[in-house]
Amino acid sequence: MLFSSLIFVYFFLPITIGIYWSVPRSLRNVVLLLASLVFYAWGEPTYVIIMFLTISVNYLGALIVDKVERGQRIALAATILANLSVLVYFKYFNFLAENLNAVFNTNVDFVKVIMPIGISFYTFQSLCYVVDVYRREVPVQCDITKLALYISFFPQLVAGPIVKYHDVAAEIENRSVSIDDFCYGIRRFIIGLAKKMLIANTMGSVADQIFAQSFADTPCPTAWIGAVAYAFQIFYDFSGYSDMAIGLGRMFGFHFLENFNYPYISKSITEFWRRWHISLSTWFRDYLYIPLGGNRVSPMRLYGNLFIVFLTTGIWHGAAWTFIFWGLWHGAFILFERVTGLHKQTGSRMITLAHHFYTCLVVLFGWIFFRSDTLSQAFGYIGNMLCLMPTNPSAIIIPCFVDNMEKIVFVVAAILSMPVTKGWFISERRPSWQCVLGDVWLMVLFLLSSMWMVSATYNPFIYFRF
Amino acid sequence: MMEREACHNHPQMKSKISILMRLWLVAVLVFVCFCLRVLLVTDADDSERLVLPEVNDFLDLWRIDVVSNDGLLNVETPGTTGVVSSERTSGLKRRWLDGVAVRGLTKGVDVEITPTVDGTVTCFIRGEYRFKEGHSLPQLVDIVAAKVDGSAVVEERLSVDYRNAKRIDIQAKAGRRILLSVQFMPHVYSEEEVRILLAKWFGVKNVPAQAILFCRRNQIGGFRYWIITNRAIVIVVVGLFLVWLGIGLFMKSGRWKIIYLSMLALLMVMPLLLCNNQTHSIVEKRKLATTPQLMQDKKLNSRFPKEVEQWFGDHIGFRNIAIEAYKWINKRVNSIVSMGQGRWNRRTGWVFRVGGVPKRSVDPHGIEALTQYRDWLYERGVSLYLVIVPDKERVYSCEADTVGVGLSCDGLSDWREALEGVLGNRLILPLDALKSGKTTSYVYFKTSHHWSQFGAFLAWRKLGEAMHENGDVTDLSGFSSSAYTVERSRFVREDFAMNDSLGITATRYFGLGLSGAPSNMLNVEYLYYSPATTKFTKVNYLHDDYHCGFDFSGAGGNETRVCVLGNSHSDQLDPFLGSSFQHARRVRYNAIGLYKGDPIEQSKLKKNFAKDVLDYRADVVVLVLAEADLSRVRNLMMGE
Repeated sequence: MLFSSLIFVYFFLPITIGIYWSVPRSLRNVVLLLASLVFYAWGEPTYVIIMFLTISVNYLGALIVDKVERGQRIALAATILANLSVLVYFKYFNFLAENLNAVFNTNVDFVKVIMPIGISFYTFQSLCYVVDVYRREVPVQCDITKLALYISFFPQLVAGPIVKYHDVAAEIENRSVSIDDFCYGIRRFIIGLAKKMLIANTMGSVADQIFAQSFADTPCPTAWIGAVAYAFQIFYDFSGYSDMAIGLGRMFGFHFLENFNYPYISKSITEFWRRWHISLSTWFRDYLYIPLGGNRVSPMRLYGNLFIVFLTTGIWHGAAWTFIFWGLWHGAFILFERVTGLHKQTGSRMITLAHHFYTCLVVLFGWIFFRSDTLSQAFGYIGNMLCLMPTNPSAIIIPCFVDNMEKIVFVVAAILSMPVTKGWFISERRPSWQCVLGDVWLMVLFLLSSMWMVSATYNPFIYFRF
Repeated sequence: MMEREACHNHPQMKSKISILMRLWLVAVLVFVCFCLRVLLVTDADDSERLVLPEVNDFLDLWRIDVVSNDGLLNVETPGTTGVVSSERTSGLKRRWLDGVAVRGLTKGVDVEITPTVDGTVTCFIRGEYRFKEGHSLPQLVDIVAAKVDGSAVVEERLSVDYRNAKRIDIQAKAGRRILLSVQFMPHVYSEEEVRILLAKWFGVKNVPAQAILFCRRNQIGGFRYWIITNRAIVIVVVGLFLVWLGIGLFMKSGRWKIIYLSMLALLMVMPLLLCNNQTHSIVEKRKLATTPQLMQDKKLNSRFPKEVEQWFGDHIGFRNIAIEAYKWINKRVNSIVSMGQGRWNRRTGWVFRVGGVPKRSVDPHGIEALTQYRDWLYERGVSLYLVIVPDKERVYSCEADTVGVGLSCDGLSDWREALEGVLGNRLILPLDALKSGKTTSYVYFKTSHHWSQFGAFLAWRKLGEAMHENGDVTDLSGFSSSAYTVERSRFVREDFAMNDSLGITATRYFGLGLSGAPSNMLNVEYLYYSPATTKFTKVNYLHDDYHCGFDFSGAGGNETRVCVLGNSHSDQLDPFLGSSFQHARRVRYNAIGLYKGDPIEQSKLKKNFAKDVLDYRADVVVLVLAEADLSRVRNLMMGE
């Protein structure tokens, strides 16, 4: 089930909220857990078993880690291994098999599995919990329903943010929701929904059309439009989901940390990663980079650590060389900035502008690898962007791909990717007239988003024939 | 600020605000009633109509209006049997075909529909009736009213149809109950025609049409008439005023958040509560998703969640309103009107089919069937050429907007490769010629999916080159433009005409929500070719009415006897056939009047046209096939 589907917005959510608010406090976690399991089972019921398995393994693993005097590390390692094994099997097995077969000429059979939805997210959350218990940062959770709720809580289950256990442990035990919190949650949810439905999907249709073209049919300007559209699509899609997750969490009394902070205004790739998918980068920082030694090591070791982190980041995003290359691409520029000290440099407005330009270019080219199916496709597309590829003179020109609506959305997307409207719609410090105006506007956005959702079900029957 | 807050918290002020809020709520209630009155009551509810079999004494079934999803339907009604509608059916076209529809009281006639095409056929049916000789509406109303409560009154009024067309309604009502409703669409019938019809059917004589309209306006009268015709403006203005007033009041009372949440809750819950149980969508002309079953054949239905989502999506409350609103925004912002079959780009004035160019995989059975047909012809000394007419959207992708997806990877190149394997250079795919030719003139009609005569000529030239290479023609003069007088004309294919035609693209502008066709849509000059020096005769040899086959006696320089088997695209080849060959025959394989059932699915080309080809002693068969029909080549060839 997607947040941006009719069944979620108009059926699942109202009913879940209704039940949640009508049961006693003691049952609210159970209600949320059941709702989360229904939410998860909706797409593929069989994968609930894997979810149960993950919950059980981590519940027992953490108990063992907490209780045993000796062998804590072994218990921790075993739990981590169990988590990663599931992830590797479902997400990376075929990729590994394919590459092993190619390199060593072996004949490892592929497995016919569909990756369980959100497995990367909930595996990382599970790891986070066990490690937090091992580090004694949080007490072990003896109530399995509460741990199950943490791992399977539907707002962040499918697309994050990756919530760290120590951030929400207290709220799982006891939380309260004020009307202000609930209003904030609703507002945030609508903003996320509008980002997804009105901006990300519109940009997505432009990007999809252009990326579907052969290289010969994609002239340089069209390729740039496609790349920019995809950059907007992925940002608004992902940040929209995060907004919806944060909003939903707030409606139920959970305070999730921000996941995006205007990444496209970054002046360096280092800064970009402080603003982009913050929950993932902080996860890697806390659970991989720092355990590896962080930056308190020799420069060579530091660079090695960064390399490992970004290699892992790439792999986490998907089982394909394009994702690995994308991770390394970013890692390489972070290393470059470390070596040159570029990320700390400040200067005149022109220099700042140049830094912005550099960051945008690196990020934009990075997205090409992220979007492409193969590395050769990515390089071909970049060749189109740099006007290095021969194109068909009668190739389709830009206007074919961008209609008026999309042009408007392009402009809106560009404006909203900068902090010009920050706090307009959700800040509690707004004057009352702005508050009402913002809420009315959000209601309009909600209606528009609903309209777009419904239009996806509009399926006129084409019955005429030649 | 503190003072203001203190002022709002003052008991007297609070009480004033409270009174004002109550007044506001009353105003909102009145407004909602008004909206319901205007939106719902003016459009009669079906459930309020009477069903009286006696009406058959007064009415003759005049026309059965069938909209089906697949081919033709055999319609049987009392007194008539057979194919009533021989034309293709298209919802929008047929719906307003003659501009008059008798609504209500039609359930007294049994209509049985027997699909002649295998498989599930979804159809919508509407009967249109006329009064029998010597009967008229007032008589009927009297009788009907007497049967009900004797107080029926005939009301005439002018209102605005949901497609923004002005409409004259004549209704027989008993109280608020609508007994009979007759509608006239003045934009379909001229006012003169309305007058004649009124005189003929209702006994109203010598009343000028203008006077009827005028009289009606007077009857409805001033403010009410204005409200009905401008109800959208009234609702928006009053609604906005009330919202503004309410926001101000609630801000002052400090209850904004509660109101905000209540409104959102209402917005989220109402569509859920108003889920409907309709089985068909008139707007989309399709069957809506059926209620999902958790268990199927005593097994758990694994697609249950998916089916629930589909059902919910199809039945959610306010769905049609949301879709209409979405379409309206798309029309305003993108200048694109989508209406089921076609989408009209307001900016460019072009009409295209919905969905652009679909992905088409090569069908090996189709290739095999074509190979067999080629061999069958070769055995009889006949060469086969295949001309493929590319989709208009492929050639005019820019004008279509946003149909670029899949243009280069939709399987046409695969088809070309496979067909070349069968036919070699006898395959004519004039895509490049059409693409480059479109800079000279229109190669397709703006309002139809058919190629223009210029587009057909470009393909004809390519065909001539291929035939020359293969030694099937020696004289290429008929394949050159110098053999023709080329004229520019504003003539538009009949597809755009008001009356029904063989045209099947969605070019009738009723469906486009227009009050008239814009100039950039119609004010177009197309190139037409007439033989410059030679004359040819065209003989309709199959059937006088259906114009399915033509024999050409021309003065072309080639003695090769050519038989062209084609669909509507082949119509445009007529001037070229007579000018290039001494003898030619063209047969429409999808001539609907002759062959029952879907022309492509059931025409059995090989079987039905074998005689034509052999009797004619053709040397060459040219098969003209639309790209859209590629996936049905097998059916076309084998007739299975």
